[in-house]
Amino acid sequence: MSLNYENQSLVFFAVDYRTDLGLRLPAAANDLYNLVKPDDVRFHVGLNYTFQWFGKKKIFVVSHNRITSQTIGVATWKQESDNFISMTTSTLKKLEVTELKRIGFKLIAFVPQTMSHAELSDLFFGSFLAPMDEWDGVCQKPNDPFLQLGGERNGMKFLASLTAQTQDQIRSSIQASQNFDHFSKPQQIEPSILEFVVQASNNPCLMLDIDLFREDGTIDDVGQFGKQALKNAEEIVRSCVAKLQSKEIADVR
Amino acid sequence: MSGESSANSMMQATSLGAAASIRHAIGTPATPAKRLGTPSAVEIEFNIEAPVANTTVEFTKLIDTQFPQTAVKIRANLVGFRPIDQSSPQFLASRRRERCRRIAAAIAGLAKNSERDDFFIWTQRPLLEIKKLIHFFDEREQFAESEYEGNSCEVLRQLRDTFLSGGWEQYRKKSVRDAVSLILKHLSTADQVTAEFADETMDRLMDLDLNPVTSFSIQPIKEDGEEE
Repeated sequence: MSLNYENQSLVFFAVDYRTDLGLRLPAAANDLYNLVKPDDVRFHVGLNYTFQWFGKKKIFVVSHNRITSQTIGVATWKQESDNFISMTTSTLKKLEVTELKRIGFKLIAFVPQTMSHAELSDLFFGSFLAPMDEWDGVCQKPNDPFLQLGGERNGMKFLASLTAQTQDQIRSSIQASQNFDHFSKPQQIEPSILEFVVQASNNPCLMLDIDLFREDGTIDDVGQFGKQALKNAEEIVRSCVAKLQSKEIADVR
Repeated sequence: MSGESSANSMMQATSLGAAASIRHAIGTPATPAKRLGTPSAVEIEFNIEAPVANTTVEFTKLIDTQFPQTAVKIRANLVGFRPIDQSSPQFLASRRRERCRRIAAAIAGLAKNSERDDFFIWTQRPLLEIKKLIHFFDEREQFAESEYEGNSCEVLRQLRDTFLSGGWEQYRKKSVRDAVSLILKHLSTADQVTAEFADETMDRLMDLDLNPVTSFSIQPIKEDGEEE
């Protein structure tokens, strides 16, 4: 079952660590700059270096307590993940960080559906939620459901939220997403980024915001976590779409 | 059509109750002297959104009240679309799968009451669920195509009829419940239900000594062709 969200998604991969880095942060950022030669690096108050490749749908952020890799589209993440994981581990080594407070992977997927927003919302009842007629005591004609779910999957904690979104809501979500402005030059929007926004907001969608994480770990866990988290997130997306459409989850694996 | 300058215009028109726009109008209107005596032609093409399958309608009208005569060729492309209030096939299929799973559970639940004298009462729940789903599709069925659940509806009507006219008694048998559960399993998993499946279901139900056509009664026909 093809879900066509590979280019209609946002991917975040981040490691958190202690904050007593001293002067190692600018030195590590400088070394990284010489290694990867980005189109630009932005320095923000709060010790935050954003490495940018305009139009390439990727950024890399090093700050005093977190390193974040971010791509537009799962497809871009798949191409760049080895690179980003290696950049993350080499920067952590430069920062002399070994213990991590948190490793996290977030996928925001806008899974297009060939049905209206009202129909999508309707399908939440009877799939994720109790059937519509069982809500009579609470309200009549319930609509616009929003589901938030916490749990574990294959040893990772996860927090997921699901909702149906209209085209306007998709555009708003994308524009409000963290660091979205940094994918383009200041005051501009790159054609490839604009194309992403237009394509992602072409149809109503099932929006899934999936956050997978672990609250411990070392530098050695970063690579394995990055790969396993993507696999887990993709399985969660498939399972959720199957559940919404009342398909057997085993059918789509 | 003359090869002179083309005229592109956007206008609003109304046809078949839907807003239509002239997206493309080419050709030239009648012009004096230069083409004196030579019929000119104008072609107008409409793209009209309408709740029908894609169709093209074309006709030519000769306007002979002016000189030179002008042939107006009108081509209307009816571009099928789904009105906002019509359900999408994906939505209907998802609802069918979800509700059929509920019906299957209700039929499986008959097992624990199959020996009771008041078994009839217990058969009302699956029957009610089937009727509700038929009603749901009836309200939304716009086309006979399988993607709009016409075939699912047919199978559901057959299942409904097996409960009528004393047919519920048959559901005391495990073999009947299992066979019907298999049919419902297909309805609760398939992307699309085919006409062949509806035919096969009819045969399967009749093999089980069920009556899937109770509501269809054949009336004697009078000689003048009217039913009695």
